[in-house]
Amino acid sequence: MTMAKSPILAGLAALVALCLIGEALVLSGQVSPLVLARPSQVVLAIVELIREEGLTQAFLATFALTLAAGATATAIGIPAGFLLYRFRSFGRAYESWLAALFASPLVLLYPLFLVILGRSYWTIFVMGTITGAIPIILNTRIGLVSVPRPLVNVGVSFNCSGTQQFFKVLFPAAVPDIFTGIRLGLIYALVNIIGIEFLINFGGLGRVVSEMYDRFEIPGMYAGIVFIVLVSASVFAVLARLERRIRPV
Amino acid sequence: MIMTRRNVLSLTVAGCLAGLVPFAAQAQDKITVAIGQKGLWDTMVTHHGVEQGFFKEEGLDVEIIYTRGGSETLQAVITNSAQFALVNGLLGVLGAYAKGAPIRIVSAQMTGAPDLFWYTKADSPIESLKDADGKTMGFSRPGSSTHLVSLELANAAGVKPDLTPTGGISDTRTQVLSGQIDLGWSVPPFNLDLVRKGEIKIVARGGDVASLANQTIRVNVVNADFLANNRETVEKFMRGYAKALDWMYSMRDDSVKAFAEFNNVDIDVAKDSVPFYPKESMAMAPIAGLDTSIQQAIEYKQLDAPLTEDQKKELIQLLP
Amino acid sequence: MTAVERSAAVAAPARAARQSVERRVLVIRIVTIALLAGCWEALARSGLLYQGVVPSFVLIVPALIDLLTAPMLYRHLWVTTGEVLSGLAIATALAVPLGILFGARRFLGRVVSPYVNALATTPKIVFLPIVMLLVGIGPESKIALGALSAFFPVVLSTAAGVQHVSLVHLNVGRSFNLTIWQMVRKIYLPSLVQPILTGLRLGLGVAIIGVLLGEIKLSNAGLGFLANDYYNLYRIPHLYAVLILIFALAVAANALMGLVAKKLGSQAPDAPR
Repeated sequence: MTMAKSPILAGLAALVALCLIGEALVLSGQVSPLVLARPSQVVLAIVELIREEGLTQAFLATFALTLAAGATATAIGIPAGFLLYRFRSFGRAYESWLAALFASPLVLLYPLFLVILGRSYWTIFVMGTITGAIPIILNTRIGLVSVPRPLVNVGVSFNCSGTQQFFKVLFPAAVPDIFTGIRLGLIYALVNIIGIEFLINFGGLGRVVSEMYDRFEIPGMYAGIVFIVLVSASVFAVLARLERRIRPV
Repeated sequence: MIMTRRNVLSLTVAGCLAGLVPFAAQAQDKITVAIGQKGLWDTMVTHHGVEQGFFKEEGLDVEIIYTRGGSETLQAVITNSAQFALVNGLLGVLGAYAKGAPIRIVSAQMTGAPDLFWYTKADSPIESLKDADGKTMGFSRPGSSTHLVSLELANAAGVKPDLTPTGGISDTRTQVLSGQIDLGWSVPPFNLDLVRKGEIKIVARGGDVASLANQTIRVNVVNADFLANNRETVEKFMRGYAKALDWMYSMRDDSVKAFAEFNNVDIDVAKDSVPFYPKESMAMAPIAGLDTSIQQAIEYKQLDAPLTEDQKKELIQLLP
Repeated sequence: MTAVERSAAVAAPARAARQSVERRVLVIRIVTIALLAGCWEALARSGLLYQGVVPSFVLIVPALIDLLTAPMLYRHLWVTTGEVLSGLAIATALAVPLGILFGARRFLGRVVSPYVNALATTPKIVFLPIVMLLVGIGPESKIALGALSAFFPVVLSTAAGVQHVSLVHLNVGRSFNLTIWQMVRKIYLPSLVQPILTGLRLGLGVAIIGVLLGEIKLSNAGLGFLANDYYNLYRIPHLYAVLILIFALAVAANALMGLVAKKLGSQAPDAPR
């Protein structure tokens, strides 16, 4: 593949071109600097934010919150999904309820958690965990239910104990669905975490974007948004690496 | 022209349309006003102006959008979703203007901070700010007027409380009542019902500090292009606003009743609120203590450098 | 035994087993609801949590009735519904053509893929300030946010679906020298019904969240605004009433989409007849 045909380079080139167009539009006065920040200013703002406004800490806070909420959601979601698989009546009883919860904007409950847990990282963490756990529960159950009978029978014919059956047969077969669930869970957790940070002006990157918007620091606002995209990309890179480790080929 | 029936009909229609033109020209000018914080005594002026017909007298059809305060009100004007933004913190306005926002100050909205008060739970050992050393004291967000006033109050009382951003009035209230912070901020009519019930007590008021009384902390703002192209309309609005403001204080019974209804509060709570808003504090001119505000804006990073005289003249165009 | 009697004899125990499972499911659901309601009420009266945060049903039910009988509710409902549907429509109008493009043109798809994926997982609420700076603070900003949120699930789903369009179908189209527009209409779209609907279902969910969060941040109409208003006035029972309504509507909308998907799915070109 020649350099000219590499998609990554082409993408980067397009990105640079867009930045240059943006720079030109604002400099020439076509677009107001209050709407679009000049990319050069955004870069400067990033440097300033890191130095003066604790952008690194904000990034780490949001990143850590997301990973913690994701991990907790997984720790709750997989066993819960398993229990719903193991006890079929409960699974069938609760499945449509969970699907309904997944479809509803649970983020709207944040004022209530604000009141109970206070204006603190706990509120954000709990909301992220709850919204992240639901798709994990649902997809774990689906994954386990969809394990082909023949596979289960192989385990049984080898006289596997319950734990062996779970770890050697069921879980590996359900991994693709479980990871789909974890990916969805992480997306929802991230959306809720940053959304709440943005709304209540507290926490990591969501708060930074909200504050910059408040102070009309438009380059700073765009800088915050760039970092949010980075957080999101990092979280999913971590997930992809984990998936490659665990997922049987 | 031969007077056929069709011709007569056409002429009649044309005549009627021609007759309507002057009426069309007299139709009300439509303007949109963004106001921060719904339902406070001082944010209701425009509402009264609409209800009592003062704006209609000036030929204006006014639509009100309430925002949650802060810079959201200014955003409305900057994006031309609204022509006027009322009740804006002066520091925020200075910062936005310096960054190129097309806004002009047309009047003062609140001078001094008589409306702000801080409270604690009724059983708290804190009786006044002198007992507040090291205690947690809430304000809305960094750089806001609640922040500045709490600093002034603490300095005046000679104490160093632990100042903490607690967000809006509702958030603050729950943090106080659940014991997460010691002193919370509020403005009337909020929380006055709890004061009446004896669940909380007021320990400090913005009006306690004399130095604050000489500083305009909130202003009313108009979109700069709109002002340049429609100066007369802006003047009409400000005249209507001034009349509504007069009415509020001269027809006290009616305005208090409207205030109570609008906010769904008891008439007693409404009456308790009015003393927090002395008429002088709502004077539309001048912009008092501007240099102090500019210094504070620099301190809180809203401004990088003081405004020049030309900038001040461009920014502040008091009307009517 | 005749064949009919034999099959009936086999079917009967299976049916009985199914009925007993369904009965168990029903019992589980009823007991769970009763337990949850009981815990709620106990918590409400215990005074453990700060008073008012978990109000008793005695307060919530009248608030709900009050809300449902208030004419102003329907104005807000209309606003939010309009914003969500408009956002979905715009998202679909943009995402389906782009999804087909990214799926059909491999190189282009690979070029944009990292950016689309990065943006897809980014919470769209952070673009609200930019959106408001662009289109103002009115309903347009909420529609734009809804469209932005729904765009990504639909475009990703469509692009993935394009890769599964049968080669046979594609070759038939090409051998008939169909124009691009005809290819899209006759070959691509019929096979894409399911992926698009799947994407739309997810898109509906995130569009609702986007619109509501936008209304909470800055607006003067809509269900999100109403909820925020009640919270600021500390009228918690009414806040719960609005939340209950919002959740019920979101679930109903999702269920409706599910029904539509099933209906259209049985008409897909490769569906079993």
